[in-house]
Amino acid sequence: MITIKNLSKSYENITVLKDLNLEIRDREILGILGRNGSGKSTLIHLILNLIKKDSGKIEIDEKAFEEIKGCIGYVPQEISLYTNLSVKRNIEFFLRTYKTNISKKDVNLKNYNIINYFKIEKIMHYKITKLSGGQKGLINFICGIIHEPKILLLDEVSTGLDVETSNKITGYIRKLKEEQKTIIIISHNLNELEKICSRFILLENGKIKIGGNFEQLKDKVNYKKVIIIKTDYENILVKKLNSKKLEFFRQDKYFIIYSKEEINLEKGIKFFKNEKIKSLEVLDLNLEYIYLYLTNF
Amino acid sequence: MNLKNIFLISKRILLESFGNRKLSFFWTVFPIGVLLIFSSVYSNGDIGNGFTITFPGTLVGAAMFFSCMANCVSLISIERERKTLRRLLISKIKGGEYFIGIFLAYFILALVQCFFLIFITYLFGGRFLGNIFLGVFIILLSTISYVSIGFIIGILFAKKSEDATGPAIAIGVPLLILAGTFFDFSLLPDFLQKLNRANPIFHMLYSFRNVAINNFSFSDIKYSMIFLILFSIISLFVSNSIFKIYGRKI
Repeated sequence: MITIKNLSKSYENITVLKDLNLEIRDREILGILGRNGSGKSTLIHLILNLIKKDSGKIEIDEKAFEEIKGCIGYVPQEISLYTNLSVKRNIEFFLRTYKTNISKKDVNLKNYNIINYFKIEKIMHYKITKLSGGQKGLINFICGIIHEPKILLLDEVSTGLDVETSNKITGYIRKLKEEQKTIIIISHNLNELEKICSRFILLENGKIKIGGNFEQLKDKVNYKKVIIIKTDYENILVKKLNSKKLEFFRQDKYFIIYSKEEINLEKGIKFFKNEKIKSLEVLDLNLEYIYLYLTNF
Repeated sequence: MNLKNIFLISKRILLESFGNRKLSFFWTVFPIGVLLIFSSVYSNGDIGNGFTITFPGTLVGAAMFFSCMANCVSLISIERERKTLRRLLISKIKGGEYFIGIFLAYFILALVQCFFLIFITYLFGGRFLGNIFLGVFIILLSTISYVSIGFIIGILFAKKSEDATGPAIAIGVPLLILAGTFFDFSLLPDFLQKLNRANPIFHMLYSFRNVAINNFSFSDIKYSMIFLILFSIISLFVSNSIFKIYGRKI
């Protein structure tokens, strides 16, 4: 279990985290949500002891970080690899840095599930510089968890990756979920997070604004459907939404409207027939719209 | 301190260095070019003697300065830019092991350069006239000094890889010139000669030249040797402390 008590961190005069309290239970998969600069990566870096905290306490299995080194895996947002070395050399190097007493026999990468899962034998001898962006992201991911750690911290692992690689990685994280690992994930891909995580926290102004599993977040938001509308008659639409006391916000040219009623497309078109809508979409409330609601209202 | 971890870091640096063929080529061509040019300048009709005289300065002054110091600044800035050190900081590798791993890698690189230069020197009739073990010991102390200076410059000034060469050249090259790498330091004015007593590169050159050319023993160059030993210990201590303070910011 990871226990965080009264954790504070500021950079010069900007407070990033303020008296943060959080418990991450064993085998839990926690998704950290929040705008850019909300302190998500700072929280991960503090757990990893990469930056100094101003105050507070972080314990992993009631131990200090130094005592549990090697049990933690970290996949950074950036491609953190030795570009002049081959894929094999990179993976072997990081494996040996985490498992320092590993025997030569145990370094044989063919025996590792992750290598077989991603089928990277063909690119094993390629230099990192010769790889595509997706392949680099994949190797970056593998290097962070090759030592099969108990706890994993994943910071935007899918950012900048192609759909195929991103799906492969999501698939593997699900596999890790089945293996009952403790995982902390930051991702802007909320659809991905919704599928993987067992609990979420939303960071805002250095504190946890809200936390819970998907159903709990849904209950807190207390809306059932989301209607997305585009129209040229925006003033008329805004008047109607205000008169009906519907909660909404604008995202580019679209209006995102939250509905407490079970509405379908047909009902939606009927309801907005006077607003000369250009497009209308009715969706179930998912994590993305819960997040947008929580950060906009 | 785990020797396996030290070797792991060294091996990684050496593999990257030798894996970069263009860089390896230039690091080989550069000292050989310097040696050929300076030996012809100082030959005075005796090519072999020209090589004997210029080999020590070429190795300790020119080759090792760039391969150990400038390379170390570059290594730190690249680790910083790639964020690879973050991964190492959360691994089981200790700061001291990382640090000694770097020294070991650059010491091996220095010995490889020495091998190339001495091969060329002997090929043209030049000789290394002193005690080889004392020579290797000076190379070791020089590596520690260069790498420590490179490490400190890298951590304090080279935040990006494009920042790496500027500080290394601005701080290192004046020391290199002052030390008399490219000319006899007795040509310098008195106050600069006195100032040179605090210049580690001067002591590296002075001791290595005198061992290689004049077969000086340890006691003949004891002041320079004591300076280098103390400088190595202090610079090791300082760079280790700086790494502890600023390492997390890399």
